[in-house]
Amino acid sequence: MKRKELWISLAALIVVMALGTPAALWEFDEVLFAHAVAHYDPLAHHPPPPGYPVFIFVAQIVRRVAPSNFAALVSVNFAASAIGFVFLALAFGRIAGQAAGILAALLFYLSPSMLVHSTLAMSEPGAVALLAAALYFLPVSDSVCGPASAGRPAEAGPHTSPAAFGFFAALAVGWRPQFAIFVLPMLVASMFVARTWRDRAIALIVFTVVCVAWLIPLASAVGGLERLIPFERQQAMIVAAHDADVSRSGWTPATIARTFIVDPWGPALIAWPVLLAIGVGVTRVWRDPRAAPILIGGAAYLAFALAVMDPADSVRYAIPFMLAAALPAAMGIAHLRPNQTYAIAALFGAASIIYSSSLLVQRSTSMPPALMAARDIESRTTPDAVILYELPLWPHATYWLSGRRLFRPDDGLQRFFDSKAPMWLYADGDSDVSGSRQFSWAASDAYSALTRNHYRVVTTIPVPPERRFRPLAGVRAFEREVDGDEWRWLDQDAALQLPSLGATAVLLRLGLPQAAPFADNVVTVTSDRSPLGRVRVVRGGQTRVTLPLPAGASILRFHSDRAYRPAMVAGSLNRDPRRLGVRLHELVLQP
Amino acid sequence: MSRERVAIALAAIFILIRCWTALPPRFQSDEQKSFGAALLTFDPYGHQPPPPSYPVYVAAGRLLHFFIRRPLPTLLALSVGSALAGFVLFSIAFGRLLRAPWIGIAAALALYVSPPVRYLSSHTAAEPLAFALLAAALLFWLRGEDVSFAIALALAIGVRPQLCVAVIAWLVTASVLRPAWRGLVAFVATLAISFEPVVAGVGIDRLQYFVANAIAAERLRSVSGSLSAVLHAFVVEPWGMGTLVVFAAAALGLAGALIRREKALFPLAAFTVAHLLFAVAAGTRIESVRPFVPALIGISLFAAAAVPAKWRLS
Repeated sequence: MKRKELWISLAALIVVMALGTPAALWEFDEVLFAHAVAHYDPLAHHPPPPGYPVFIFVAQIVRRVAPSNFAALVSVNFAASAIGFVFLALAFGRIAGQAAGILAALLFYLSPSMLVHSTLAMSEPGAVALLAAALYFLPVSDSVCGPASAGRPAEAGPHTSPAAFGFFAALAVGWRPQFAIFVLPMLVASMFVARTWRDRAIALIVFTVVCVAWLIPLASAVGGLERLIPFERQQAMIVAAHDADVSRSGWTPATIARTFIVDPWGPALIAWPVLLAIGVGVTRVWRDPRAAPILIGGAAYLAFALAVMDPADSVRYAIPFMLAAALPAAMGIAHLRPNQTYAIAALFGAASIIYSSSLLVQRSTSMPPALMAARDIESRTTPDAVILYELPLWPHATYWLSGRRLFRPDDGLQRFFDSKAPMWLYADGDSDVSGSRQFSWAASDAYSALTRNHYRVVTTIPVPPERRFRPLAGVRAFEREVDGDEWRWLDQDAALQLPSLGATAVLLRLGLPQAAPFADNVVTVTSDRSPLGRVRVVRGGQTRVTLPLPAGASILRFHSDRAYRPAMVAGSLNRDPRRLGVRLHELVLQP
Repeated sequence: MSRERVAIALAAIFILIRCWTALPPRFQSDEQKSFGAALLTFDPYGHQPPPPSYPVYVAAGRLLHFFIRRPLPTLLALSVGSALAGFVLFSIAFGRLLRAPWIGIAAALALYVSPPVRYLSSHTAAEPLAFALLAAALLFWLRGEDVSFAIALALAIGVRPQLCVAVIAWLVTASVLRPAWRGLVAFVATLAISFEPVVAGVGIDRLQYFVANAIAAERLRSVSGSLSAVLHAFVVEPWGMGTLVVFAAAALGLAGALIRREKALFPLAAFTVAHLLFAVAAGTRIESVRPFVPALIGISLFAAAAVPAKWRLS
C-alpha cells in the first residue's frame, strides 16, 4: 500500500473533520443518544429504537474520561471516522488498486454527506468504520477470482480473516441495527465468494455469537426478550406508517430516487460527475467476486431505502449506499484518469467543502439555535413557567430544560389554558408573535439539502393568557414553517374552550393553503350556541376578523362548509389522511 | 536562488507590508458586507452578492472561510494572498514576455504599488483574485499550456464577470495567434460550470428578469457619476502625477510592439484596449476609477515595453 499517500490523505481528512466538528448537540437523534449515554433506556427512546447497544456501550466507556455526553459521542465518531477511512482505503485498495482505494475512501469521507455526518453524535460513523473493517477482513482470495478455481481452494490474501469479518460485521449491526439491511445481503454474498466451507462456517458462527452478545443487553434493557420483540415490531410499524408512507407526501418516485442517490454527493455539479464515474466503474467491477458482497449489500440497501426510508433523512440514510458506490466511482475515475486520482480527490474535496462550508462553519463556531433558545428560556423565565415544546424539540427540551415544567403544546394547554402561570413555546421555526426571540443560523443550499432542515431557526414564543385555549375537538397540532408562518388545522367541525378572562371579542386569523382543492371556504363561528359570524377564506389567503363575544362565553365552535382529506384528493401526492377544513393561524382574546 | 527570485521575494514582502498596513477593521460598504454574507448564504437573486454574482470569487471565499471561520479576515486574506500570487506570477510572465526579468519585475511592482490596485488588494474585492488568475493564464499561454490558459481565463470571468469582454478579446487574439480548439472547449466548459450556481440560485424561469433588473439597477447607480470625472480620476489616481507619463510610455510601448510585430504582446494589447472601451461604455460611473483598473495590467506591461532593448538587463 502507498503508505505515504494514505497517511497524507488521513491527515488531510483529520484536519477537515476537526474544522467541521460541531460545537454542541444539534439534531434530534444526537440528543437522544446523549440522553442514552447518561442513562441507557431504550423504552424511553434513549437511544431511539432499535436500541444501538454497541454504540452506547462504547460511548459510555469513553464518557468516563470525556467531559460531557456530547464530547464522548463526538470523540467516538471522530476516531471511528479516522480509523474507518484507513480500513476503507485498504479494503478497497485490495480490489481496485492502491491509489483507487485511497481515492474511494476520500470520495466517501469528503462527500458532503460525510462532511456533515462524520463528526455528529450519530451512530453512522462508527457503524461505517466497523463495516469498513469487516470489508477489510472479507474472506475472499486476493489472488484468485472466485471461490474455487478449477476445483481447488483459492489462496487467502494477507488480511482475510473470516472470524474478524464475522466479528466486525456483527458489531456494525449492533452499533447501528439499520445496517443489517446492508450487512445481511453482504454476508450472504460473502458466503458465495468465500474460499472454503471452513471460512464460511467461522464467519457465520462468529457473526451469530457476536450478535447474540449485543442482543442480550438490549433485551435486558427493554425488559426481556418477550418485550424486545413487541418493542422492535412497534418501531417497524411506525417506520411503515410514517417513513414509508406519510413522510413521502409530495414526493414522486423520481424525486425520492434523486434525494437518495444524487443529493448525498452534493449539488449537480459535484454529483453528476461522481455518478458518471460510478457508471463507468460498475462496468469494470461487477464481474469481480471480491466486490460482489459490497455491491450486493449496497444495492440491497438502496432498494430498501427507496422503498421504505424517510426521504427527509435521505442524505444520512444513503451513507451505506454511498460507501458501496465509492468503490466503482474510484475505479471509474482511475480508469478514465489514471494519473490524476489524487488531483481529482483534492478537487472533489474542495468542491464539497465549498458547498458545505456554510453549514460546517456555523455549526462549529456557534452554538446551535436550539441550545441558544433553551438558554434563553432558562434566563427569561421563572421556575413556575410552563414550557411547551414542539415535537422536533422534544429531545432538546428534555435534555437542556430537564428541571422545568415541560409539556407537549396540547397537553400544556389542556392543563394551563386558564392559568395565570407564564407560558412559553419552544418552537422549531420562526414566529411573528410579539415578544418572540429568534435564534438562527444563516440559510444555505447545503443546510436544506444535507439535513432534515430543522433547527436552523428556533424561537421562544410567549403564550400570554389571551392567546391560550383548550383544544376540545377537531383542533390539530401546531404546524410551522421556518419563515414564521404557523397554524393549526381545524377539522370540518372543531371546538375549543376559552379561558375565563372576561373577553368581549376574539380576533381570529383563518387561512386556506394554496394546495387546497377548493377555491374558498366559509367558516361559521359560534360561541356556545349563539352564532358569532361567518368568515370566508380564499385559497392561498388569510382572513383576519374580530368577532364579539357574549358575556361568559367559554366554548368556540367552528364549522367549515367544506373539508378535504389531502390523501384522497385526486392526483395529489400528499398522504395526509386527516380531514381538514381551515387553518387557524391566530386566536387572541380582547378585553 | 537567482537574484531575480530574491528580488521578487523582497518585492512581495514589500507588497505584503503595504497591504497589511492598509487592512480595514470592518467591511467598508454594503457591497463588501454582502460578499461576507454570501459566504454563508449564496443568494444571487436576492443580490447577495450583488450582480453579476461573482460565483468563483464566492466559491474561493467559501473554501477559505472553512479554514479561517470569520468572513472579513477570510475575504481580506483572499485579497492579500491573491495580490501576492498575482504579483509573483505577473513578474515572471512579464519578464518572459519582454525577455527582461528585471523589467518584468519592475512592471509588476508598478502595477501592485499603484494606489487603486493597492486599495483593492487590501480590501474585500474580487479584482486581486481575478488578476492572479489572469497572471496564471498569461504564464500558461507562454508555456504553451492552452487548456490551463483557457481555464484560468474563464475562472477570471467567474471571479469578476465584468472582465468578460476584455478576456474574450484576449482569448480570441491568442487563439488567432495559436489556434487551440481544446482550449476553447475548456473555456466554455469552465465558464458554464462557474456560472451554474448562479443559474441554479436564480432559477431558469427568473434568469431573464434577474439580468434585466441587474442592468437597470446598474444604470440607475451610474446616474450620480459622470464619465468625465471618472476619466479625470483615471489619469490622476493610478500613479499620481506620473500617471500621464506612464500612459505615454504605454502608448509608445504598444506602438513599438505593433511596429515590431511582437505577437506575444498582442493578446494583452487586445485585453487592455477592449477593457478600456468596455469601461468607458459600460463601467459603473459611481465606482470612480475602479472599472478601469484591470486595464492597468496592460498599461504597466506596455510602459515597461517602451524601455529600449539595450537598457533591458537580462
